[in-house]
Amino acid sequence: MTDQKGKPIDLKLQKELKTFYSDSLKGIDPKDSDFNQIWFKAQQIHLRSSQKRQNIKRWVRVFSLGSLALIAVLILRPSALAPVNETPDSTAPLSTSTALHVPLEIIESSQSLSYDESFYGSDWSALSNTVEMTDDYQLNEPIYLRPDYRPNFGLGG
Amino acid sequence: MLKPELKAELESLHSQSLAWALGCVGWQQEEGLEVLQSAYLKVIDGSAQFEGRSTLKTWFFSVIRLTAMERKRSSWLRENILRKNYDSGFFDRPQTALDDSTRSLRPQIAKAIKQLSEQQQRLVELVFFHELSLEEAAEIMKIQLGTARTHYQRAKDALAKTLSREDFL
Repeated sequence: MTDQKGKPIDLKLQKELKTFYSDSLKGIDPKDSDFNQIWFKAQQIHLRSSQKRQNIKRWVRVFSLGSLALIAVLILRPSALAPVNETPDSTAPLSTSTALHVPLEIIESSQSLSYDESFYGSDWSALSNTVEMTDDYQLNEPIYLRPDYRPNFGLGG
Repeated sequence: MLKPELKAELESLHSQSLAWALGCVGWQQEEGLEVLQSAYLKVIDGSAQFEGRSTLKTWFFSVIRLTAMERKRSSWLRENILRKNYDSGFFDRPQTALDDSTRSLRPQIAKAIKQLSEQQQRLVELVFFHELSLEEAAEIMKIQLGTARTHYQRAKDALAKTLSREDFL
């Protein structure tokens, strides 16, 4: 393609466009467009973002290790998270459907099962370690059982 | 290629890269510098890796172009989601910036370039200003060589026509 004077348009166009683009670049402050400055800024951004990434990774690791530990505890010792047995309320009425084994310490601390020392004496050695009760037993007086007491439910013997 | 060598080569390409980055964002200085910085960041963090399949210039120009497109897309979304007082989106702004920056220079050329599509503008810039071959330009633009040839020819014809009418050529 040529112009009216027979010169190739491509070359002319190229020259004009090149001048145009070069002129467009002239308005840029060389300080802002300095390679080292732009590269340095990019490096700073990279450092900051990699630090952030590492922090996130660290937290994810801590969280997953914690979860694994928790799962392991639950699998190996499911009772580890069960509520701790507390001393039962001594004032609450005792009612059971089956025979109850009441530890001696509870009987000692119980107000309703207070030990009348004047009547029974102060010798606790005769008390058994456990007291066996059934539903139909009325708790209207202290329980005192001999250590060699063996209940007989009418099954012979 | 080792990083220091790559850095040295990028440094030697810097002024051309800057011109290309500016061209990709319609000669808006701040945006162009941001695009170039993001492109360097991609090289530093390894998200853009030079594998030697093309020349370094072609590869880095393509990284710049993709970065500019990503930024355009995100700004467009931001502006449309936030619904600021823009009647026109980001894609209209390069044309305005081109006018502003070249008003005192060559208004006829600016007007002629403005009439081209964005793809044609980039192709003309790559071929005429950065002196790349059409094959390289097509690779940077990620288009087929035949498509690039068609765009280039149409752009050249349109430019010649407009500039001849203005009695410029």
